[in-house]
Amino acid sequence: MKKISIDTNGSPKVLRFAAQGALVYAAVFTFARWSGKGSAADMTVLAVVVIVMSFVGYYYQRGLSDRLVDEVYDCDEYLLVRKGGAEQKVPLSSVINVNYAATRRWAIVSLLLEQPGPFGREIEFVPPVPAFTMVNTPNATAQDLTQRAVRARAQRQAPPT
Amino acid sequence: MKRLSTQYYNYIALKAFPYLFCGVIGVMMFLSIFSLGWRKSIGNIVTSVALITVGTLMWWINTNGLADEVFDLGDHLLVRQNNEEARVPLADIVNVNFNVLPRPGRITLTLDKPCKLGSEIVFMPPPDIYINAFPKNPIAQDLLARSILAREKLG
Repeated sequence: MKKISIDTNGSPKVLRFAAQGALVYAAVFTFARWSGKGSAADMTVLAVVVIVMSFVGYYYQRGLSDRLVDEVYDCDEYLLVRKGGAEQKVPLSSVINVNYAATRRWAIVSLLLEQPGPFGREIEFVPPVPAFTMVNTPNATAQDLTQRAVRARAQRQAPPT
Repeated sequence: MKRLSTQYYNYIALKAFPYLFCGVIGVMMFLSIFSLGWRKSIGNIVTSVALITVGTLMWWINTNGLADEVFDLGDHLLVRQNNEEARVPLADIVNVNFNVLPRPGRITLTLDKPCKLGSEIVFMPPPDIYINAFPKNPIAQDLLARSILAREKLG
């Protein structure tokens, strides 16, 4: 049983707090520098920008981390998926598509299932990505899962001999 | 016959970009040489050559293997790449991948049986505005749904 996901339990939360912290720090620093110099209108605009950015940042990060499962283990013929207290066994033959998408900060593997399970029809997780990888470089985990899912589907569909 | 790949981005990315990029840097390098002379513009020449080398390498990495044109012909796709043409039945597509980067995105079709152009077809869909960092592309979704149906029909 090999773990093929990166632990996302903590990192998005840490990132979320770090982003919020940086924003608050920037706001406090700017307020301190402007105190006595900036007009009330400037301060109001700054406060509105900080509040709006906080909400946008918070919901963006939450939206991203909420769609990810916590852990995915590769158990050869099936994947063991865990999120919160629940877990699901996903046979590779029931995976009908594997999508790998990467941005400069994140990479996500999405598994589309034949039938929806406890976590829905799509299971998304963060795979291990080597450092200094370009965004269009194929991911080893995603490629391996794609090949094995295709093979498992073909074996299931092949007539018994 | 519906075009699935972007026309203008493909032209810019595959044909025009290297000439534009190298041309602009080359013109700047020659302007520097003519105005400052060889000795004073050594730094500019080295920087320009490095930029052209790195830029061309990045361009090659980003566009290598990209299909020139992809057309939807109902039950199969017509793919053109480097003056070669291949017909890909939808039932042969076993996986559809979409990544929004590099812009305007890449759709990668993995084939069951390799065609004349290989076992993977990569093309750029028309550009779209995405708010989500990991969006769905309507063309990729449509191809995936139709390829699954086509496979099911074949049994």
